[in-house]
Amino acid sequence: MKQILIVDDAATVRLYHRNLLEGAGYAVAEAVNGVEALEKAFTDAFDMYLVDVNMPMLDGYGFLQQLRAQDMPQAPAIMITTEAGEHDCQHAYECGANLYIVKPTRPEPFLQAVKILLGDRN
Amino acid sequence: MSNDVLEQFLSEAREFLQAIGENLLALESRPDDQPVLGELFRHVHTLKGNCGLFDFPDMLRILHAAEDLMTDLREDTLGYSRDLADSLLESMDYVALLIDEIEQVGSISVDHGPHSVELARMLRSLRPGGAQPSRDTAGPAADSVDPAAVCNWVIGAPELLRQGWVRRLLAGESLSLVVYRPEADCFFKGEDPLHLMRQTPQLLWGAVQAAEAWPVPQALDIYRCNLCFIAVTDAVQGALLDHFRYVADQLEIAPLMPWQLIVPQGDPGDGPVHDDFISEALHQLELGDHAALSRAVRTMLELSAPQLWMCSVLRWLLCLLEAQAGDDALRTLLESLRTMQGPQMQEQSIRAAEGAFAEALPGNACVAVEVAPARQIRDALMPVLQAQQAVLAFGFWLLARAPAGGWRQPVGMPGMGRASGDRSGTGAGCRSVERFLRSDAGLAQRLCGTAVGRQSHHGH
Repeated sequence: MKQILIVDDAATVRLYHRNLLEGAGYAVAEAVNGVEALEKAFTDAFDMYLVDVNMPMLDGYGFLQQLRAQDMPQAPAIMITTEAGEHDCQHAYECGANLYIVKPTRPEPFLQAVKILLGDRN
Repeated sequence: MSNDVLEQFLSEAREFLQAIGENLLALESRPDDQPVLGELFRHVHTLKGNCGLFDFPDMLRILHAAEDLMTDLREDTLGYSRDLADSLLESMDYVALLIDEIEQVGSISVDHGPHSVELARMLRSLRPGGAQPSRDTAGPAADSVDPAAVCNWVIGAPELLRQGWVRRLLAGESLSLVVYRPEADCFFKGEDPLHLMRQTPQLLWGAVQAAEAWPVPQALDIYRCNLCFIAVTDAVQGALLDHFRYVADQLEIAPLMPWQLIVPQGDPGDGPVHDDFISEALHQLELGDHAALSRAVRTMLELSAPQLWMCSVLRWLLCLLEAQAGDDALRTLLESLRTMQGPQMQEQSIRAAEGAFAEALPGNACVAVEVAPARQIRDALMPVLQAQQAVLAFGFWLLARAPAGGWRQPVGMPGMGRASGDRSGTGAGCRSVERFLRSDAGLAQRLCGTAVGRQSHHGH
């Protein structure tokens, strides 16, 4: 079973995405900020990261930059945020995001994006 | 949405509300404390993000405004003040009240709409530059549109439609004007203003205008919404508030009144109408002989080119006569023929005569989405249109050449307005040009579609 790490400081959003992903047959782990996410990434092998932008301690951009700088197998990352600006999107890709999604995520397109990035489409 | 997510949202929302209160308390003694400012922003931001997962537009509206305000505070474009803290606390108290309501009944009553718009407006007014002027007067309150300004919004509606509305209003029905100004970045928020407007309950007529003057093509940002939508509907206000609940702060609703619709339009022609006709008509009005007055007006209409301004006045006279409006309104219209000035209608002068039961027009649902033509096309074609109008002023000559059956006047052609019974077809030449002028309505819609399409690609 593929495992996805949800990195978000909002418990509601984590639960919302957990429900969607578990419903689609994925295993889910959670981290509440960038620092905890890095720690988990070092100890566990995840198939994908779902990353919020605004978080305490270390935000989503910082987490991705540090993750991508590590010499270890990399997994795709989806940045999920309420910031819809062109600049934010560009910055996310520069930091290492593979996809940029604006909240609130609708279940179907969200799961479709996850499956495409994981190569699980059909 | 499963129940556990909603429960999580409610309990987390209470935590955030408490934390926001604590942050504000801390800022009172240390207004420049950057970590606290950052935390305050994040709490409001996250609460708003959580709220966005559900269908609670009234709560989202307040939190969105609060988040924008907190962005200013965090980025130092706005200083902490007692006013700001009080406003934010008041808004968060209201959010707490909504949270309680969701917990108790599972949803938020639509009654909260107006107050949430007010709170959001209050928060936005604290931002540098204050609330945007166009939004400042916006709101779902029925009296938010200046009654005199309504004339300017509905003047684009074809005369025939407006006459139908006047008949319905005089028959005691209610119609509303909706003015919807979507936010410039609405396409990035998953909104589809054109679709929303077209789905307006019981839509009778709609139009689109540029919200601001169009920039030169090179500077045009097609992903920025620069449209202002206008609609006339006979839906009740509650239905409209519900339909537009996500954009209530971008909306103005006003009840339509007959006098706002009676705006004669047309070519001024050679000047005032013969005094003889006006004196005779006024005399018939004094005598109360409406039948004779109606005959005289019809005769005058037959003798005159339909695109003249005076003919528009005459058609309005007939309309009001048929709707059994008060004599004062008829007199005002007749007097305007003498002065060639627009009639100064008063609400009380139009009220239907005592005991009158004007006939309501059935099946009057006609939707004509209009877009202001691109300036270049319009400028290039205007001389052609004017030349054709001049030719058509020879009404008698063309009448003789009209096909036996006549052409049917399509609804939706202002400026060529004519009485419903007149199908002589003298406007046919102009119509093709007008149709061409209007063809860029499709272009604007496609533009809208493109932008929305791009948004979906970008956002999902």
